[in-house]
Amino acid sequence: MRYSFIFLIFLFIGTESFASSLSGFIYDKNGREQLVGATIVLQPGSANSASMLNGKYTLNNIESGTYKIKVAYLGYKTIDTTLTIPANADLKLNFLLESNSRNISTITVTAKGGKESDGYAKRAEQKAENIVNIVSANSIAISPDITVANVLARVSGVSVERGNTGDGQHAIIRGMDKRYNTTLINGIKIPSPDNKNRYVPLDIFPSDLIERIEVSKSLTPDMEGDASGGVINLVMKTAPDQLRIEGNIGAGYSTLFSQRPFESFSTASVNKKSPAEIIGNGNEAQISAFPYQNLLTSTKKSPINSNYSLTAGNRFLDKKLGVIFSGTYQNTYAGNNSSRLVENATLGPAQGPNAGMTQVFPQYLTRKYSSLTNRLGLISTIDYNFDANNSISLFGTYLQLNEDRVRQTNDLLLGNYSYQGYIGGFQQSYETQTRQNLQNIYSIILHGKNKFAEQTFADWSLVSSGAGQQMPDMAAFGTTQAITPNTSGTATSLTYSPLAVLSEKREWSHNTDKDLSGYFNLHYNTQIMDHRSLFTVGGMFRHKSRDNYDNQYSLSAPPDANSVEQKYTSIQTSKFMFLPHTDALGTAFSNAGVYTFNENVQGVYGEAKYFIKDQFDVLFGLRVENTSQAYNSSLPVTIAGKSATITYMDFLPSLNAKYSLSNNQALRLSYFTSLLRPAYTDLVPYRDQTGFSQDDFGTIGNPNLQHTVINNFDFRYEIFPKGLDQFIVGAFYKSIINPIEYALVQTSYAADLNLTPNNFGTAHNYGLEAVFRKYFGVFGISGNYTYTYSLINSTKKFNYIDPANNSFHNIEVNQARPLQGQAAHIGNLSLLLKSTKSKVDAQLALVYTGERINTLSMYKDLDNWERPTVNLDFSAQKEFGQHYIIYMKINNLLNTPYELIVKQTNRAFSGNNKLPIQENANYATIEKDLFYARYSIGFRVKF
Amino acid sequence: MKNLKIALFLFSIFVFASCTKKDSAVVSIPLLKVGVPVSNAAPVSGTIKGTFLANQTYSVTGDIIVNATDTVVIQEGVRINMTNGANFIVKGTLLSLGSKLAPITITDPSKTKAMGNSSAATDPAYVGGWGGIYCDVTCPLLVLKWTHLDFGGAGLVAPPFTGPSTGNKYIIYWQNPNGNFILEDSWLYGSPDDAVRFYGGHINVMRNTIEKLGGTGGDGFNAKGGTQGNMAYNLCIGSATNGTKSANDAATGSTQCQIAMYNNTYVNGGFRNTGTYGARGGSVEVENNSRALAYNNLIVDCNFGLRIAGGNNVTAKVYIADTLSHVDGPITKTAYSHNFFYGDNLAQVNQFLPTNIAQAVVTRPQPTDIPNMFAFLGPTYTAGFAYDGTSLIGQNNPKFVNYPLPNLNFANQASVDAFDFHLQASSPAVGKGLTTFSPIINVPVSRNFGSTEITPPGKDIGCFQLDGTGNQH
Repeated sequence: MRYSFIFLIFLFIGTESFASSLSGFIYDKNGREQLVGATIVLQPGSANSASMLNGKYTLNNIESGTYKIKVAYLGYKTIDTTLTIPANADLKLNFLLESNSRNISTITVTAKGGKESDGYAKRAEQKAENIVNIVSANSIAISPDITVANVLARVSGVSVERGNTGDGQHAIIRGMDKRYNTTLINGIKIPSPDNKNRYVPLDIFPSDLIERIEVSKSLTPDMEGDASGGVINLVMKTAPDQLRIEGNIGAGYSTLFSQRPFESFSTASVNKKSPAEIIGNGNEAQISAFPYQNLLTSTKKSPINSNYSLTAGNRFLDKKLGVIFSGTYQNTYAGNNSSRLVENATLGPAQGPNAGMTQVFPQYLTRKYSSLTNRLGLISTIDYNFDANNSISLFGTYLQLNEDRVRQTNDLLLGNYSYQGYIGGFQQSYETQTRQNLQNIYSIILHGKNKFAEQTFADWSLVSSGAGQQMPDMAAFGTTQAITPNTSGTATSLTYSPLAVLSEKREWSHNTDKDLSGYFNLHYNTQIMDHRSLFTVGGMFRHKSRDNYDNQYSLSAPPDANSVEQKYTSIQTSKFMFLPHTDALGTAFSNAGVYTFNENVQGVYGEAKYFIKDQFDVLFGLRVENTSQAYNSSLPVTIAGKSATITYMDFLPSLNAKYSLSNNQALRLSYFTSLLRPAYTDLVPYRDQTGFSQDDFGTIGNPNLQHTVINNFDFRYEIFPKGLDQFIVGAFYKSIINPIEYALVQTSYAADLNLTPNNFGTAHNYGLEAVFRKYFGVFGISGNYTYTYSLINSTKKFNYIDPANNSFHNIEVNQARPLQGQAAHIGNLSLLLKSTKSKVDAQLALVYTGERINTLSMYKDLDNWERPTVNLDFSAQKEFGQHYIIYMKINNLLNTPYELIVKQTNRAFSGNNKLPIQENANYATIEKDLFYARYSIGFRVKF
Repeated sequence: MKNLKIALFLFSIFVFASCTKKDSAVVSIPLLKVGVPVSNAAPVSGTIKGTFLANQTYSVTGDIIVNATDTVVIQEGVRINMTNGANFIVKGTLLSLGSKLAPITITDPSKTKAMGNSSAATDPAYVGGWGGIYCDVTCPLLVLKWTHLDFGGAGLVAPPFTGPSTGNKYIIYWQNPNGNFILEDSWLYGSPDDAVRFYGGHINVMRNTIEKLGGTGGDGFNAKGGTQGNMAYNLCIGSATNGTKSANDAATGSTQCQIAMYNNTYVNGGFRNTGTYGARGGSVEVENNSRALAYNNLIVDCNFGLRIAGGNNVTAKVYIADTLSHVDGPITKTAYSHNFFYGDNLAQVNQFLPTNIAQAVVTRPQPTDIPNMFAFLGPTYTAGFAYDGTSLIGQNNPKFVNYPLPNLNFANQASVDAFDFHLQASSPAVGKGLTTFSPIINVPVSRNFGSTEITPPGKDIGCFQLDGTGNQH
């Protein structure tokens, strides 16, 4: 039967009026779970209904008589029977449907159909060997999210970091920074296009391609050991049992661009290669190699976002050959308005050993970002089932995220700020920065399963994947002018000097990652003393080769004759030269940012799953991972860290136990050891100033960094009462040896601060988690809450003057703090409406993220904290007829700001030194970004 | 120990003074020679140790590297023509031992000095020719005596060791906090950025002439965290920003930057600084928790007078100099007096005591200053407040031997040329100096391996003394 099109069975809404009624619940026969959206049809006539969120169905006004009755649900065997209904009766009848698919023994099982449903997701969570949260495609579809990252913000224990468009980019799972989490496609680790990190920016994944998202918070030995917070597995759509065609077309709008116009630039003159790549490294570039055209910006009012997707799949050759193709394209105009006080690198000493140092803010930046992002995603899977025991599949994906970004900056030098009656800055600079960021990921996975004997089967994968990023000709043009108060005792007026041209920056950077990997798992099923046992051994290897290129040019603006500066008239007419002429070589001439990196990882493991009782099983084993890394940069041989080779081996034991209290309640206990490999740029001592500094801070790698080893303990109680209801509570503890965090340090005597990764002793991280979901008829409420506590010590600089003898002390002190990015409180709350009768789905979703450390200061007590946020999103959809859905999504209803603060007495809150964006006397606000609400509406078709 | 040193020092002066009464005899002094001679038969580059022989001309076509524990000596009268932006990378010891009669010249032969008006746009002095002398933490001693360093400051195309960055364009870069740095009786001409950048160390920078330093920004001598020593008897003309500066930022330990700046002459400083008027100095700057002495300085036609930076703890880029009293260190308290200011327009005289325009200032007027700024501003004056100095314009002409004042060409005349900044006997600066303070004595005094002479404070304000002591140029 056409199970996947069960919703199509609706015919017409019954309108005739008769006295009898039929109602009851539709259950899963095994689990006794209520099924949501199962259909019930009476024939002859047109009476039909579907079960609600609590599994209840109702058919009213039925004429007495004998009917053929058909109860159907996706993935279940249809009940086809006859029933006689008397007049004026009020019949109660429950139906038990039998599952059509194989048992879900592990989350990777290849169940047919329905894998995109909430019900499937919930059952998979329940059946999983480890601690997993699953988000189904259906809940993604009705959620307000168009990218995977935004979806993840609604998973328990997950908070997201947002990029400059306001979209989530990275997940922080249970307070563990993004670096502790890995991203998989169909269970296979994929490389990142990010030039700094291993973790994949999640906004590259359009949610339309996803069948479900699994977030595993504990590891089993067969999983790669480098995820400690969690593993985000994106399971892509797989071939359906029969013809399936789905399409989506949508449009959207950001209210930011009713506040101000969107800015764009022409990429026509952007050269993909830097001059040094064209004329050869070591040759001096000509000024003419740096066209001005890509610095000219134009404005657009109220641009409209669009998105399209199409999925087609079918099964042929006696259902042995399955094919699916899915593509999506999103064109989004986004941006934000940002205000930032720049933190000074050097600070005055505290007025005593117990006093605090004070962060000062010499500059105030206001920025307007306009980003046009194009997201293209393509996937295709071909699978062939030779027989029940042997199958093979070939999966391919290509994902692309292109961003054209304009950043307009006004930089006010505050100087002394208040001066005899004048309160304000003393110099203002303007900068236009244009940037193209082209990212892509591809992956080809050949996957097979073979059963050799009754008890022995194997699965294997061969994978080739790659990722890359290009930022060609990122350009910044700036002008500046002095502001002078006209002084005669009290300043009453200001003189603005003519605008002068500043030096221009151009930068080319690109990086690629290529992975070749193979996985093999052999499973053996047996009975040991009448207890079911499953033994698995396996191994994997991955060879990664990476290259990174960065080349920056600084073009000086020569002063006009008899002047010390060049007067600005226009970008086109501004003159530039290389001063000194060696600037024409570009920084690639000698730059740790030009490097190659190889990494070989081999892993072997053995695990056993043993059923002590039918309701009590344990899965335990050991995994060994060997890592060897090598990099070589174009730094001169005279600099330490030009190249390095690093090897280490880790033994990673784990234990997962599950005890079923009943068939809908279970206790789980898990222990595992995991590791964290430093990212490539963590190791290479490359001073990355992508964005020409002030794009926050430059970063410098640290080749002496140690990899991190983490011991993880989890305990969880879960109950799945009925329908989609669930309730889960858990606790976790992690001890993190040599955690890697970025701290601001001053290197090489340069006055600028840089972010450098360091190990910080041993950190402890523990917390509690609760997840619930409850439906009342057509309404539902779901939520989760995570409390996390972490403690880590870091060394901070502390300068003070001892008032006893005015002696100056520049010392290092230990300071305890939570892990970077970890919020103590994270909560989600969603209100759901799911009316199967009127076919309306709606969701109001709230995400609360408590305060957390954003950036570590090199100084004691001056870390940058992100203020707590409450994000509110709304989405709704209505289905028409059998095939059509219209939907709307509103993101960021509350226009939640992104705010960073320094917890110090706020001297900038009042008086002559009152600065912008200050809101509290107890902390200084150093950044406030506003993204504004975004609306989208769309239309979906499925056949 | 310090008192003993001072006593020894004073004793040696006494001995020296008593010796001058003997017969005059010029006895030749042996030239220091180490290792093998450096051959000038072919261009020099790469790792060397040994001696550049007196009065020879050498061509250097690539970086010269002096390895740790190695020594390179440049004898008097040597001329080194540096091409290809070559640098001296000094991890060992470099001694450039010129003499008054036979100075050493290290230059870029493709450039020639231009007299008269200097424009930031066209003067080749500001674009860098050869590179610089980059000294690593292992360099125990750098001695430069009677040496011309002309047209340095080409940008580094690669950092030579951990510390400096690609693009740095200093003439001398120093980062050994335990090493000794001697720059005496020498000339620095032309640089695109700071001429000398110190990150710690013991220094004696004395009796030099520096011209056209900093292109459109940059100081002459810029001492950062932990540097201690003297900057005295220097003639600084046409610096983009300050002639001498001390700042304790980038300190690696609790040692504070402490510099005695005295008897310097600053002319036409601070006029090539782009950007904010008032954010930078134009003669002497003390900032960021450093301590300094500033006595007997002659500041003529500069954009700013002596600036002891303040800091408002909220928005200031630069924080306050250390103005407290200490018991430790060679300088127990930032102190200044007996400085002489001359200005030819209202903007200059209104900044004899720099005002808080873009940066807080805590310089207090001193009754021993010429003009007497304490009397001029009155006892109720608040440091950093603007004042009307109209009546100070053109007052107290210091009477240089040959430099016409008033002179409205201050923004353009950035080199000494044929001028003579010695004082006439009738100068109001004569005999007005303070001589009761001590310079910092933290480097050895030695003909070859240390300072020729740590010249004590002079009684005439400025670098040239009527008695012939001080700056010997």
